[in-house]
Amino acid sequence: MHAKANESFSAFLDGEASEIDVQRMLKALDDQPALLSQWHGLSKAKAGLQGEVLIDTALTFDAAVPAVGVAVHNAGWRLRLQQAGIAAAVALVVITGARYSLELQPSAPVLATVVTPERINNALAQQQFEAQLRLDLYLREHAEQASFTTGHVVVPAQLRWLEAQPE
Amino acid sequence: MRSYLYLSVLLALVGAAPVQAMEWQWLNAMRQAVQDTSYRGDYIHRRGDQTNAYSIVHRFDQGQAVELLRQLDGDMLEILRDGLRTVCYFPDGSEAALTHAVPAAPFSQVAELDLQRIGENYHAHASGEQRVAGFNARIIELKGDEWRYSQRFWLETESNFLLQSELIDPSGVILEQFRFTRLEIGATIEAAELVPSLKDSAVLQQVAFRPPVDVPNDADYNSQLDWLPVGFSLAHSEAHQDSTGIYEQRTFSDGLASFSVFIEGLALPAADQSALAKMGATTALMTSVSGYSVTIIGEIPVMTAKKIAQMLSIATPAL
Repeated sequence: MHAKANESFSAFLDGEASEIDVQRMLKALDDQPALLSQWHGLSKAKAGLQGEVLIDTALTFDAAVPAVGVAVHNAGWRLRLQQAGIAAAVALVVITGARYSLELQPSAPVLATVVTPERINNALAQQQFEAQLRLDLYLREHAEQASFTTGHVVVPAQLRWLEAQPE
Repeated sequence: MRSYLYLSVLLALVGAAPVQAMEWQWLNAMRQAVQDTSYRGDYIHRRGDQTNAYSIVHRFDQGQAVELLRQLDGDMLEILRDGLRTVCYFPDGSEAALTHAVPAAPFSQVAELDLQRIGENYHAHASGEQRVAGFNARIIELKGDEWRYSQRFWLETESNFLLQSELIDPSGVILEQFRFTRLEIGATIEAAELVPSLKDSAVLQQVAFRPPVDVPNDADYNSQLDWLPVGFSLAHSEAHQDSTGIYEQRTFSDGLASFSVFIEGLALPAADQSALAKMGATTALMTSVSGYSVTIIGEIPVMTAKKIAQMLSIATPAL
């Protein structure tokens, strides 16, 4: 029944989820919240297959632990995934697959999302996802600075987001 | 007699200075060759189990370098570097392309190699010759202590052009590799080759200018690093403070490798928790110290990152 949603989730894991994929995942999750734990399992299995390294040193997230206050730069779909807990379900794995990323400024307005109480109260999910966003940002910052001294460089400089204009 | 003595002491000193060795001269020539030569070619960049292919056209003319880099697999992406200006071109709708890393050719952004410093932290030795992309190359290996990774360079024997480079962990595993598969050194580059093919289509761009380099200063930071691997010094610092807490960022370099330390947030009572991730040669350690979020990211071994985190202390800021 949720084969399509599973495909979308797979695309999400590959960092290739489209707007339609996101919609599909959110819809499927509304119908069947248990999908979340199933996806978490899938993501772990996938990470294992890819031989990605994840070492949790005393990774004892506790739902009672308050989320660390952190300024998070959200793109619209990210926020929605965060609120739905999907991203959090795979946060552990996403961390291992994290790449240097050029942080995009939100190019579209953040859409309002219907959030059910049990989802937003998921402190664990919030915390893990915020941690991942923060890591993304830090990776980019590091890459920018490292590029001036390190041979294997990635992002050369601070990037500013612009709409294309004929020069 | 005395002057002979001075002379022989002087000669001995010169002989002992590691950066006078041929290997170091080659490395210095390498950085210059990468930037001050016109060339076109294809290269691959491998990080962990992820590989990407690129084509590059680089023209050096009258002291000015212009370079067009194209990603050949995955998302279409073109990067034009003209002096200090960088423009990214990609098709409308493929913004996701920019969530991936966009490697520049190694050492293409490095203004100057601090050989003296690198020489203090690494031993250089030549380890044979090999063919890469149709050229004969000599292999130079830089090896430091256990706190940093080794690096290996394949330099074209005539021009010292960098044909291949690798970051290697202490057990000999290649963590990252850059390698030309096709290359023309000293090619004549026509202006048309430096025009992005996406230039006239509907594209989004990112324009970047290299920011001015500030003198780093972390004297008044709340956090303090009580241990640094030998030879690393502060290369960049940035800090601010608001209602969400403190933000302190530092980048350290030993001349070749670098790592960054990020402190963020408020001192919150939180369970001790940490997570560790590796991407190729990049280690990312996320942990908490005195309730603050601490993240260490760099091309350094895991044990180096762990020791830095263990020896880090944070004072409560005066608000």
